[in-house]
Amino acid sequence: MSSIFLLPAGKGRRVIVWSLLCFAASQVALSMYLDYRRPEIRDPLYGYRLRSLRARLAESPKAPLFLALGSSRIKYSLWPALMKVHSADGVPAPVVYNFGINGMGNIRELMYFRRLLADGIRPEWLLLEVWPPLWTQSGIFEETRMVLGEDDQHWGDMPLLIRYFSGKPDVVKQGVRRSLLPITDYRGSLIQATLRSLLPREQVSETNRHLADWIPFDNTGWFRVPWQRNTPEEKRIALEHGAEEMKPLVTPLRIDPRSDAALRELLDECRTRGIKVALIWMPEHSLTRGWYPPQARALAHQYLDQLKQEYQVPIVDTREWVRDEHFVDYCHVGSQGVAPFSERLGRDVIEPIAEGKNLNTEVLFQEDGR
Amino acid sequence: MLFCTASFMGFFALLLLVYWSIPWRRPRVWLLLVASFYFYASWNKWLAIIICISTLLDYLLALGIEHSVANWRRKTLLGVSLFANLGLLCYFKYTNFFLLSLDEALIASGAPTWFRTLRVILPIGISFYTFEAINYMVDVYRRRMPAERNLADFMLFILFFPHLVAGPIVRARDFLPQIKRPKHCDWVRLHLGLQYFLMGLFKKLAIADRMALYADPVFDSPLDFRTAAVWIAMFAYALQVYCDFSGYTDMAIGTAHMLGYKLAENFNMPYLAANIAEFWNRWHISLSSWLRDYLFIPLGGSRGGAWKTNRNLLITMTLCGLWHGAAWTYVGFGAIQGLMLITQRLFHRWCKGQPRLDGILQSLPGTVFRIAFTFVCFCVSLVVFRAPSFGHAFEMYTRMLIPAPGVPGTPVPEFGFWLTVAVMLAAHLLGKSGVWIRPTLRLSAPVLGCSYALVLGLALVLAPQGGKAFIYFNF
Repeated sequence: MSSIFLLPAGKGRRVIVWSLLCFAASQVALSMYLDYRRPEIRDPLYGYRLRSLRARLAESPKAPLFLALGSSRIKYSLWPALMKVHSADGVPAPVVYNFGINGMGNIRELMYFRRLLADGIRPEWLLLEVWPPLWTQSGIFEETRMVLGEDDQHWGDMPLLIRYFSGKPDVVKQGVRRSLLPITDYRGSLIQATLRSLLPREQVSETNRHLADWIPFDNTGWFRVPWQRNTPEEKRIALEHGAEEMKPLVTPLRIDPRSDAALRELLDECRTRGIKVALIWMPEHSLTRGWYPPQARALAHQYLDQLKQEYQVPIVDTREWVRDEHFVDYCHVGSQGVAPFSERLGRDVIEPIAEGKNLNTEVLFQEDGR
Repeated sequence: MLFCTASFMGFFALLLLVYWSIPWRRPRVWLLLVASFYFYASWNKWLAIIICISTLLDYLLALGIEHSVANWRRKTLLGVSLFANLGLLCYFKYTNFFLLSLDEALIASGAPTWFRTLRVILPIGISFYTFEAINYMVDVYRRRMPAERNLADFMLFILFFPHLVAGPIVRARDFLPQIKRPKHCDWVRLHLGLQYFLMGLFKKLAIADRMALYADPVFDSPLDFRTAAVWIAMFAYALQVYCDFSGYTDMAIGTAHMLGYKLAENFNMPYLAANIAEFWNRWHISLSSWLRDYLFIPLGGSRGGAWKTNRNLLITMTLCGLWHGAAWTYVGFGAIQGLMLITQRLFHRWCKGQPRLDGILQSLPGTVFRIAFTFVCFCVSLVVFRAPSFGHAFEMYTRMLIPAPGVPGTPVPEFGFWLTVAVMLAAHLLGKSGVWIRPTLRLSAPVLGCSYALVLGLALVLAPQGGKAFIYFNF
């Protein structure tokens, strides 16, 4: 057959060796390219947000960065553009950036924080969400599911994934495969980024629809909550559904050792690097606050108190900052609640800590519980 | 386990390493047998056991035929083997088809029906290994080859995983001696195998699966699209089916080469055929030659005059269609091929009496015209092959001939289709002329190595998400 040719044995061997070497090298190069140059191809959730954060920092290069890291509850509630933050004379007003990502628990907070550090982002303050259901690593907040289904791992994530998911071979296997053979997992995204005309029209439209989930509303990282529940009936159903989701997680509340370890590792890392941290318990619907049984409340309070003592971090309690009618479900603030919440967080928390003042005890978590 | 998946590549790399590190022939045969069984059992272990049992039966029957002197006894043993092999094929592949057809016919005639379809799954590649077993049994019966005495060697002939599920249909006479031949790790063959494998991988992932994006949505609902999209879908399917099957064959040949075995070529640029008879000599060669040797010639071949030859052609090609699948559309496709072959024979004979016309057709422009005409005729007949029913095929033809409003454009922008057509055309012309070989041989090992890595990378990156099984696995 004239599309095949023979080579002498020695040259044949060299060609095979070179093929394998070139292919392996190309995969390493591609993996690094995706990690460091085009993170949005590998992980659009992270990559587009990083791009937006960099653009925001470029607007005020000398301003200190206050980075809010947490789940969708931060993502949809905190709109830094609405904060009127002043700072001490001679100090530029801080840049507050919302880096909330859906379902982000402690392990993923640590993973994303490490990535941000590796990408040259160095916050002055880290505003870290804490929320008891996220500590359980079960139900809808099980991070194994999130890591397998939504996140795309970087080379740098591998040590962390191996440590935290050593009992879950799928996570480690997926991470290794995606790092070592990125061409198979990211071919769709690569073509999307380079040769869109080779993609089916439906796929292009679907990706365009996804962009709304990936690109924030503005350069402050905020996203508008994508679901609206306007009628009392819709809200009632959403609350019932929330009760089904959340009650089993907190009855009884159990803090997963991996969550605890990840949170402590993150706090240790911040302490080592001189990054100040404030923990934030985000707003909850009054019904949601009632779903915690006494055991869960006691354990959450004891745990937060421990963290506060060990790491000397303020714990901001915003659970009652938003009125019930401003929630779209049991834990997400709707568009009407965004402005009051963001303004108050800016005024009562960001501004004092930016000016180096102590926080008012009214906003701080009360150890005796409420 | 598909040839184009990472799991197969891992499996094959490990096998290759162990295979060539074993210095003895017999353990290597056993290793290949175990690997082949594992390969097939990864789909369904029960079906793998069924194949083993049927292979064992053929092994014993062939020995029986060889040891028998009485003709009636030899015939009986051959009959038992054919009954068992074709019986299995019919049971798994055609029973439900015949029951449903009978059911529909009874319903149409108003008679009551009581049939129930069987709950069976089609063993992958059953048509291929059945034909391999038959060619062995018939050759032993005709005393063209001795019966194989070594059970492991015989089982490897049937179960050898590169050809097990989608051919090429190997002949026992060609393959069994290869098992007995001493083998050593040969870089020439490894390199050759790698070339075949990469070429097959590229055809499958970068062309066939990509062309499916143009063809599948249109074949599913042709009336939703405009005429141009339907024509493009038809040509895209022609490229898909060719690159899918020839890509599989190339990968099979490549893996076999790397293990020290040679499988027969199955395609020889069929879309450059200048008439339909030549086309079938270039397309799925192992099936065409099997049908010629074990069906067309036993039916009388071309020995009994024009009418009988045409009848034999029609029967052979109709059965060829049925071999492809248990549906009337496949039977129709086969019959169309038979009719095209008959028409071509008649036209060819008529042309001999028209020297001027014959001269024009044999000239370069005439040959180009004949190639294009053959290609278009085959593509048009493929609509019946691809369509799930004659009704769908009719809708396709209607939309191809009568313009009507529909979704503008093709499911994927046309750029990719025309790019693929250009690449295929260039590859065929270069392949036919062979002008690329000498400069390529002068390239250094690193440059060639990089280009192979590039082909692999391109194949992987151009593969659409989700991947598709090989079309011929269904047959």
